[in-house]
Amino acid sequence: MAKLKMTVNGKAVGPHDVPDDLPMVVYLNDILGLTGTKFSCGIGVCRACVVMVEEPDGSITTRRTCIAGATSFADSKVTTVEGHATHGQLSAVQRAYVDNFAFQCGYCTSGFVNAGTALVEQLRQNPVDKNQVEQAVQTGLGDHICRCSGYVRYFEAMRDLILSDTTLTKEG
Amino acid sequence: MRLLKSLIILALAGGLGYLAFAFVWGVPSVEQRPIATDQAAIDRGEYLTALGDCTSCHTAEDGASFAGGRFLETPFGGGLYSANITPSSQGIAGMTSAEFYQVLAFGADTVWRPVYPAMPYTSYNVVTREDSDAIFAYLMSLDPVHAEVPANTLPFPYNIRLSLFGWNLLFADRSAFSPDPKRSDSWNRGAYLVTGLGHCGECHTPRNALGAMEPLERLTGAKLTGFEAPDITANGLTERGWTHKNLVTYFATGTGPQGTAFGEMHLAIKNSLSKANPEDQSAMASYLLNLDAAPSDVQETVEQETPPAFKAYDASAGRSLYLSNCSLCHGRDGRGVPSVMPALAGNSTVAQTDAVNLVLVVARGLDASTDYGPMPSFADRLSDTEISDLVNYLRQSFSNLDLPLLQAADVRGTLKQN
Ligand code: FES
Ligand code: FES
Repeated sequence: MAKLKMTVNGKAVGPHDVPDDLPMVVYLNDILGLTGTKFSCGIGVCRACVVMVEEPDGSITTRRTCIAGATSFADSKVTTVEGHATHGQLSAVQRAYVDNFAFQCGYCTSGFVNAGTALVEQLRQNPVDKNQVEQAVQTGLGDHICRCSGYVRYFEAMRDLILSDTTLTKEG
Repeated sequence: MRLLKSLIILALAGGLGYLAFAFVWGVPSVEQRPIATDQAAIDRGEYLTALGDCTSCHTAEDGASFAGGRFLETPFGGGLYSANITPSSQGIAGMTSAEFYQVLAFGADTVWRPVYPAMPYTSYNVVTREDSDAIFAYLMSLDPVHAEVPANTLPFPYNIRLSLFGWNLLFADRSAFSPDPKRSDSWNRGAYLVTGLGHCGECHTPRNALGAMEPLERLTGAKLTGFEAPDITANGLTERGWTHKNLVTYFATGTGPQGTAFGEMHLAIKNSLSKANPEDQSAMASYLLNLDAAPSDVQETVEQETPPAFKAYDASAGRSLYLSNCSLCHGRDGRGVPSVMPALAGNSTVAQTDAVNLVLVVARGLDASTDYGPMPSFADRLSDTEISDLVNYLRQSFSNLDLPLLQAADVRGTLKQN
């Protein structure tokens, strides 16, 4: 048992008494009632359950919540799929996925939204040459599985979004 | 001036002497034999080529099979590229079966171009001429692949090939395999395969400063680059819980109650050991465990039913880390999920004395393999102290051995060196 506190979608949550091996995805779904994070393979392969984490140095990473205990997120700043839209407006990444009809059943989508947003944030901190965007998208999303096979549209959505924002790339 | 002259003369005489030695001793002459072209010989050769695991080194990542070009890192700075061993002009076209055997068993078919002992002729010396000819017949039956192999990047003085004959004189055994009449056929077959084609010692035997295997420390475990190859002497294996049956299963599938093959061993299982027939797998296990015959299943089942003892060990920090970072895949009790997640209880890597591989796997993770998903890396998220707490917890809870406790500095040291 541990007293668990963290920040989720900008709000402080906890302290909660949770067992050390309570999966983060269960903590989000059942204790915080944030059901947008999906449990799929449960073994760290599909990345449907990915959330975004802001590290103490301000850098953004992603983590799988099915294979990590909630207590391993103690005191961190987590963003789930519920934390992207503001005032009913989809985020740029969400908008791009919708406009490109990137998903069908949507089970993988929260993982793709978090990974795509993390990628945008990483590029904002370290822009890449335009000709490396394809590779950057591959690195950012390539591990995510979508059984409805929306890969191409997810990838196109991200590529177009990145290329349309001049702060994310440099001339090269 | 006189001194300089004498020195030059001495050096010249020495050089000439060495050259004479290289000519006389360097390449043992062997009998010429025709290349077999019948299907039976080729099939036998294909099997033996798999047992020799030629492909793992002689195939570059994403390259054509046997076309060489895989970079082999050495501890001497720089490295070597494996040769193209398909019958093309960049490969072994034009070679005779005698020359092939000379390279395979003695490391040179000409005084001018001995091969480096990254090619395990230091083990293949026990391979019979018949087996060598069959392998050659198979390789010559392949489609030629026209692929140039990049030049080696070994620095001076290691790039002087001629010096290898001196090395060979000191370190390369040239004797043929001699079966032990007191042991069973299976044990002897295992000995032939483990010491010869299997060339297990090349990774699992420690090496001296000049890169030669230490004969007195055969198979006691070693580390060249990357992961450590564990102790696979009968003692080492038995201590870490290996049984004959589990070794055979491991050879066949790369997995078992003592863990899963990773790093180079994953390739060795995939390309070689899993392709050995059950008799040969059993023979190798018998030899490694020093048994004349496979124990009956009944005996082994009894052994296996004894679960690893969980020791009383106050490791609350390690346990919390284990529960939140590892248990969701490997299970609260470390038993994993059959065929999906390796068990840690009874795992042979957990039980290695110096914990080098365990620390490396926790810190750096592992790529996904055909059977298992990826192991995430924890170096970014866990401090050295946390990793040592975690590793101590794993070793105290999931191994029956009395293993030393690690300090954070040990973890730092391991990660720095690797
Ligand atoms: S559900 Fe977490 S990676 Fe698949
Ligand atoms: S949209 Fe169904 S799995 Fe991706």
